[in-house]
Amino acid sequence: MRVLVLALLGASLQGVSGSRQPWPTHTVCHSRNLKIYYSSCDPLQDVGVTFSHCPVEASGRVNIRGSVLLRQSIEELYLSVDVSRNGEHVLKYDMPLCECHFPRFISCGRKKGELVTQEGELMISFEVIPKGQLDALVVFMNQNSFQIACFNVTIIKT
Amino acid sequence: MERRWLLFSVFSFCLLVLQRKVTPSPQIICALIDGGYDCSGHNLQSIPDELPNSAQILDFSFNYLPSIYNSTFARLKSLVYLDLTRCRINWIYEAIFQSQQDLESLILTGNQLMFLSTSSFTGPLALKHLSLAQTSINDLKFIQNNDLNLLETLDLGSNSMNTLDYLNRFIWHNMKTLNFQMNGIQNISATGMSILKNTTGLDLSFKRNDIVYIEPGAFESCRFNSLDLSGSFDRVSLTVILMGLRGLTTNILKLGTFDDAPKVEATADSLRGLCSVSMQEVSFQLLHFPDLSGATFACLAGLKRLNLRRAHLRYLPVNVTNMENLTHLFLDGNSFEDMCDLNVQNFPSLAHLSMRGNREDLNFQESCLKNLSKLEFLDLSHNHLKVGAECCNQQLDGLTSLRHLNLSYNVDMTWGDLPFQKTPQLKLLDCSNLAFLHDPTNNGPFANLPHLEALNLSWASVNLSDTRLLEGLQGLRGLTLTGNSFHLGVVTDAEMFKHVPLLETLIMSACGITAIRDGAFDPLTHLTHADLSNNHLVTVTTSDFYSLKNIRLNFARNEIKIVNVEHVKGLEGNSTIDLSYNPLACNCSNVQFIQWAENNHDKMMRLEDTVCGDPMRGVKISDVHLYCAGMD
Repeated sequence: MRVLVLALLGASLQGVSGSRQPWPTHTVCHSRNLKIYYSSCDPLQDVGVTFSHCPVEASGRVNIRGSVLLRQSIEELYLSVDVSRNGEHVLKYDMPLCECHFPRFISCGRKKGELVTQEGELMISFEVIPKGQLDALVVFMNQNSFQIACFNVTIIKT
Repeated sequence: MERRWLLFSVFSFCLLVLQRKVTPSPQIICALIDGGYDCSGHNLQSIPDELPNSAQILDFSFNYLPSIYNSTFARLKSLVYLDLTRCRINWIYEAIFQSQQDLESLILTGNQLMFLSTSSFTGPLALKHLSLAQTSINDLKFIQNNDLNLLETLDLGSNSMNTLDYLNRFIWHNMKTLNFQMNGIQNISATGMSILKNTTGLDLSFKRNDIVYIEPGAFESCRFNSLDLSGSFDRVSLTVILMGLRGLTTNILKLGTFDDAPKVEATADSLRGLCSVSMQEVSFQLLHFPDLSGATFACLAGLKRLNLRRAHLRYLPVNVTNMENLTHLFLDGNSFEDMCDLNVQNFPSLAHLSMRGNREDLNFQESCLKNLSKLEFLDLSHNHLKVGAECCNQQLDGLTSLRHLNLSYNVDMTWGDLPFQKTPQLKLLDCSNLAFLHDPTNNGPFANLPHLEALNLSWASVNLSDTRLLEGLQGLRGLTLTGNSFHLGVVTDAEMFKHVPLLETLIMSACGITAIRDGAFDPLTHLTHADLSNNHLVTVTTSDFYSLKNIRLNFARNEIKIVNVEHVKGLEGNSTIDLSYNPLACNCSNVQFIQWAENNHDKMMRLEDTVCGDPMRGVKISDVHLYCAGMD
C-alpha cells in the first residue's frame, strides 16, 4: 500500500512540473575515430552549434559557430563548464565573458529577443583529446543568474 | 504505534494526491508582476480575455502576432509599457495605439518588420522609449514618423542600415539614447549629424559598424554624454575616425575593441586627433600600443578616467606630463611584471586604481604607490602578487587615504605584524581566497583598523578559533567568514565576537559548523543578518541571538530534520528564517513547525525550496497537510 501511494505521488509531481521531452541530440562531428554530439539542457529552447569540419587524426583550426536566442539581456554573461571523463568528474571551469565594466565580446550587452551568433576559431589538437568518452555540461548565465543557454556535449574518441 | 504512524502517513499522502487530482488546473496564463502582467512565451495569438483592461505593464514577448491592427490592444487603454519582443510581427498597421494615450515604452525587438504605417504610433501623447533592435530595418526612412518627436530612447541596433540618410528629418530634442550599434553604417556626414547638435547629454552608439569615413567636423559642436565607436575600425584606421571627431565634446568616448574583432593598433600619431576632442573619460580596451611613450598621452590632457583594460601593456611611460587630473585608472588584464612599472608619479590625483587579473606574475615589494596620497580605491585581486618576505606595510606605504582594498584571489603571502599600519582609514578589506600567514603571537592583523566596516575572509584558510583574529575592529558592520573552519566544528564561545560589537551582518556559510555553544553570539547586539547555511547543524537555535525583532536567519542546506517551534515563534516584526534544502521531517513529529510555517509564510524565506527529507524527499512542506492524533 505504501509503495502504491508513493508511486501516485511521483506521478502527480511529474504532472505538476510539466516535464517535457528532451531536445534532440545533434551531431557536429562524425568521423571514423571522433564523434561529437550535443543536446540542449535548457527548458525553453534548443541551441545551434556547428563545426566547419571534423578534426581527423591531425591538429588544426576549426571554425565554430553557435547561435542562441536571448530570453534575457546579457549585460553580464558567465560561462561554466563541467567535464567528466568516462563518468568521472575531472574539470570545472568558470569564466566571465561579459562584465559591465569590461565587455570583452561584441555581443556583450545585447538585449532580450536578439538572436546572437558567435563565431570563433578553435585550435584543436587531436592528440590531446583522450581516448574514451568525455562529457561536458556547458552553461551560460547572465547578470540575473538566468540561464541563457545550456547544453551537454559528448566527445567520443576511439 | 508504528502501524498507526504508517496509517496517518498513508492518509496524508492520499489526501495530498487527491487534493491535486480534484483541483482544476489553473487557467490563468499571464502571471501578475509588479504593476502589470507577464504573458510571455505562451504562443498566444491575441490578448487573453482574462487580462484586465486596466493593465499598465504588459510583457507579451515570445508570442505570435504576425499583424497588429488598431483593434489588437484596443481595450487595454491604460498601457504604459508594452513588450512585444519576438512576436513574429511582420505588419504594423495604422494607429495601433490610438486608445493608449499613456504609452511610454514599446519594445519590438526581434520582429522581422515588413510594413510599418507612417501613422502606426499615432495615439500615445508621449512615446519615450522605442526598441526596434534586430527588426530588419534597412534605413531610417522606414520609421519616419511624426509621432516619434518626443522619444528619449531609440534602439536601432543589430539591423541592416548602411546609411544615416534621413536622420535629419527627425526632431529629437528629448533624445537621450540613440543606438545604431551592429549595423553597416559606412559614412557619417556633417549634414546627417546636424540634427544631433541640438541634443544635450546624448548616449550615441556606432559600436561595431563598418565605418569608412567620418567627415571632419561631423561632430563639431556636439555635446554628448557618450559616443561609442568601439569595434568599428575594420575598414578604416583610428587616425581617420579621430580626425572626424574634431570639435566633439563628450563625457565618455569608447574607442576600444573586442576579443572577437580584428586587432587594432593605436600609435601616438593616430591618437593626435584626440587633441581636438574634449572628453572626461576614454576607453581603449583591448587595443595595442606599438609605440607606447609619453607622446601616446599627448592629447589626453585633462582626462579624468582612463580605461586601458587588456591593452597589452607591460609598462606605462615614465615621462607622461599632462595627466595630473586623472582620478580613475583601469589597468585590469594587462601584462605588467612590476608594480613600479606603473610609474604612478604621473598620476598624482589618482583616487581609483584597478589592477586585477594581471596576466604575468606581479612583483610588488617596493613602495611603488607612495605618490598616491589621494588613492581611495585599490583593486589588486586575481593576481599573482609576489610580495617578497612579507606584506603589506612596505607595499602600501603612502596610501594614507585608502578606503577600499581588494587583495582577493592572490597567491599565498606572509603578513607582518599589523600589515595595514599605512592604511589606517580602510573601510573595506577583501581578502577572500587569499591564503595569508600571520603569526598568532602578534597583534590581531586588523587591530589598527577601527574604521573598517566590511571584512571578507571567505576561503582564506583562517583559523576561526583564534580569538584575536578580529581584535580592534570595533567599527565592523559586515563580516564574511565563509569556507573557514572552527576547531571540531563548534562555535565555542563569545570571545572572538567581543571585538566586533557593532556587527550587523555575519556570514558563516560552509564553515563545517556542527554546533553552536550557548551564548556564542551574545556580544552581537546589532546583528540583523546571520547566514549559517551549508553547515552541518541539526537543530535551529535562536536563543543565541540578542534580538529576534529584526533579523534574517539563514539555516539553509544544513541537516535539520525537526524544528523546535518555540525557537521560531519568537521571530518578530520583519524577521525571517530560511530553512530551504534541509531534510525536514514531514510527519507528526514535526507537525507543530509545519503548521507554523503554513501560517507564517511571510517569515519563511524560500518557502518554495523548503522541502521534506526522506521518505518524502523533495515535497514542499507547503504541500504537506498532516492530520495527527491530538490535533484540533
